Amino acid sequence: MALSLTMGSDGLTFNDPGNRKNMGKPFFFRSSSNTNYSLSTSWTQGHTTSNFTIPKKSHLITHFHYPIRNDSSSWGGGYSRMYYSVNDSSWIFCGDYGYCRGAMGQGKYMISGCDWQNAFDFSGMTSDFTVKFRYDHRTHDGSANTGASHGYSNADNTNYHGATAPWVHYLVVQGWQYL
Amino acid sequence: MGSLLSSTGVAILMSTLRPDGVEFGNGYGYSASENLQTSGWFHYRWTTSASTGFDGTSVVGQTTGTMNLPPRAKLFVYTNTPLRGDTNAWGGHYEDLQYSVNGGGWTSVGRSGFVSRMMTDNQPITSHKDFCVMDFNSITSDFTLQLRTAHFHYNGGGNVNGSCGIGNGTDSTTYDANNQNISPWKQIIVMGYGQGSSS
Repeated sequence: MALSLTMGSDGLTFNDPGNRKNMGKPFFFRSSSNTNYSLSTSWTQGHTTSNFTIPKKSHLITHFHYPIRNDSSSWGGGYSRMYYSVNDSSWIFCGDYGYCRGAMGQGKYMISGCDWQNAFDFSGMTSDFTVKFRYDHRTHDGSANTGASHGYSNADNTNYHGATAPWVHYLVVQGWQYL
Repeated sequence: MGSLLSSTGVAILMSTLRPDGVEFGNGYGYSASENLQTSGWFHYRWTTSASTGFDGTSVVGQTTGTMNLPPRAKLFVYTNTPLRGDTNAWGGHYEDLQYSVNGGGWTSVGRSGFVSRMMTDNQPITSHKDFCVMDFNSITSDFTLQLRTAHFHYNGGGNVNGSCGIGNGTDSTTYDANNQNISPWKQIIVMGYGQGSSS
């Protein structure tokens, strides 16, 4: 069988159907904070990342986590929204995630957390670019908070994992170039 | 696979470009036996805004399209299932993740128990998350895969997607071909790569 792989500056390319067989550069970013955001029925801007520099033609999988606490017996509830911005353009709204993202129930205090994933296809970006992410929150009624009174404790050191502050809000970005 | 000798006389195995992938040289444990990478990373994303009611009988809430995968694919599967059920009973939600290879029958990877929307006297509204790692190491040629999720309650009834306050985002593919505008709804994300034994 003839060799059907070619090596270029951006990676390896198979001479086979389907560009899934291209091998570009994988990469990884993360952003975290232990800021507390007090929530009401008005939208509050929560965890917002700095710009990540992304190689052209990349795909991203994002994983965001936050805690939420509702100290009341009303519905409480964590409405959430996500935004992203490319090359510092205006924020692009990714939709209302509704009140199914934590601490939404009637008649009981609730403390919970939320994880969500998104998949981005930036293969149309022909130059390296920057992207940042933003997460906003509000309650259905009453008040809540995300970031305080959740019982987090500090990490032992910064070896390997990189922070002594607990990862209260955190975003992990996994990505790779698609040739 | 070629080899060199280091200054201490230890053989150093060279990485090799093969017709079917990249065969890596030195490695230990898993990385030594699973040393042929047959693809780069890939991903698929499937979303549905359909509302699906469920009760004590299992009902399919989402079926993905057909995914084309490389030999020996390793997959990381994430599901997000928004849930509501207006009940003061326990409520609860079971999710059963199933797969079909090359159009064959459905196989369950196991049912997650009542780990979401489960509380007495509270009418909780939550999301159910599943994460599953799948290793198709025994499949040595390209293949297709579909996934689906099925749902039922512990008691009290419930539904997927409906009355969860979810709303679409901005319809924009200016930068992102996936268009995140419907991403808040029920979603299955698959990421992976092909990697297996070179022998």
